Amino acid sequence: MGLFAKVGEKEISRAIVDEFAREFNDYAESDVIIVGAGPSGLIAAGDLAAAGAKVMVIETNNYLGGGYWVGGFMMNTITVRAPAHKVLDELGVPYKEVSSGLFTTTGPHACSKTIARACDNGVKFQNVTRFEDVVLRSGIDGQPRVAGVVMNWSPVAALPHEITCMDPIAVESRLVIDATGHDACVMAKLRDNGLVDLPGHESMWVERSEDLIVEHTGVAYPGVIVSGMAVATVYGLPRMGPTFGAMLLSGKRAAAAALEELRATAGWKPRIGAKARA
Amino acid sequence: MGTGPLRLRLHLDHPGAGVDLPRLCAELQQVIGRGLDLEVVPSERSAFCPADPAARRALAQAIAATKVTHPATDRPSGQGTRRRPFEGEIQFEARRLGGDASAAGILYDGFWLQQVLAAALPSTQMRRDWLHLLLTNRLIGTFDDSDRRWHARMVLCGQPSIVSTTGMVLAPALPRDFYTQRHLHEQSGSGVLGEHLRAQMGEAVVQHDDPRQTQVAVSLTLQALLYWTTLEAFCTTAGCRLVDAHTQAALVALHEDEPALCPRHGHWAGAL
Ligand SMILES: [Zn+2]
Repeated sequence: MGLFAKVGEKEISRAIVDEFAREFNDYAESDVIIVGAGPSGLIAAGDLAAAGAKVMVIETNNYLGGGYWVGGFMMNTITVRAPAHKVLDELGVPYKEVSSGLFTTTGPHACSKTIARACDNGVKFQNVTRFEDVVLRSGIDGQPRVAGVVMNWSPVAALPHEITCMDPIAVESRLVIDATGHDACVMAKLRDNGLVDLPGHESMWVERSEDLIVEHTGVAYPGVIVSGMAVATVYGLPRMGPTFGAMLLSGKRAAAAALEELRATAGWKPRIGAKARA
Repeated sequence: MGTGPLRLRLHLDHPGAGVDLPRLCAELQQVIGRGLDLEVVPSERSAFCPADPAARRALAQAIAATKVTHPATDRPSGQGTRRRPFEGEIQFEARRLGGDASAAGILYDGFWLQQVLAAALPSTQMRRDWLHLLLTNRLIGTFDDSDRRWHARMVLCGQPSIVSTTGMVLAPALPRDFYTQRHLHEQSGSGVLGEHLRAQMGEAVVQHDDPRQTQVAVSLTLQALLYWTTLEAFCTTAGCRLVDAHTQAALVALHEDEPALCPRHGHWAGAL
């Protein structure tokens, strides 16, 4: 008598394929697709799912968390300034107040709890998956509106050119959140298609860019919300080093902005059984 | 002037914690006396934050267009390479007008912003005996043709006048060493360090949320009133609070003790 139940290899394979296919089929259409599973994307995902939204996060790496695991200089102590420590309270992450309004915790603890909370709330993660393009539809006002993303397995991009005729796949959503960090991949795609004219980076007279990043979080194009460090790229705000407080609060703002959009969408109802909070 | 007192209407746009509004008003009333009919316009009645969503969006769009995003190539009033604002920029300005955003640091073309705001004022108040003044933390700049550069400003005279609390911090010059240091920090990619660098200078300079901003705001408001009533832009008599301070050292010195008007401008204020 072995330790584990007797299960054949083929049953294991079928379980993997069937379950993945069933879930993938379900998420061919979702409320919100979040591109990028760094701190702001994860926070937004957790909040949205808690409020009853059907959320899929796509992440190009096999691991989730992006730069959340380590802080500056690859040291895994991360700092947040008040009031962002309240987000750590919400996640149940312990921290220390090292000086008035300045808090430290560890990357692994904060990151793992943020991922766990998103999973617990019902977020679907599609990792090793690269964002390739947006799906455009005509909105109710006749103007183009982003209504999903085109994606492919990340390794396809690394294949030699002659064998990359491996077409991507499109998935639809009511909203897309660009949480792709400095690259701002989703908005950059819209710019490349001539749909927006982004300011680019030119130094402004900014000495407090964390506030500006949080407050610029929101709808940047019909159907697209920008969150986290991507905000700095899209609005031409100064690039910053690791600033987790701004990322956490930006993620919360992105979720709030997405919920406001969803609630204004005809026919949208929060999912039953979701851990909806007030 | 007309027969009645000059109506000064103060509009607030997130001036920040440095400005003590009751003190500002009391000080203005004390300096000018009965010649001034001063009112702080509540935001729900201000022409600069319309309640109607369509009007608010239109104003937000017009304000977003005045951003200077490429100081090297943007020129006044939309000349140069200026882009059209995209949806997110309009929505940010709409959030600001609605009170849901207040961060400063973006540079706006001051004279263009002034035109946009003037267009929002009721035509019945576009008169010599009405002066609207926006007290804001928005950073405003003007383009100087002589050196072909944008310069941050503390005050812009005219209708409406604009007094910028962020301008009090960023416009008056600091010793060159500060800019060298800040540039080095900026190259390192941190947005927080510039703020720390300035904070280290303590009371030698006017800081963000500095309580001395109240007295500076009084001086700048008087400057706007002086221009509005006499077309005189500032004073050249040493020690007069209407002197145009080009450096932080001068600005701080001017507001160190009890800032005062020179005899000539004391007389002007009393005669309003
Ligand atoms: Zn004088």
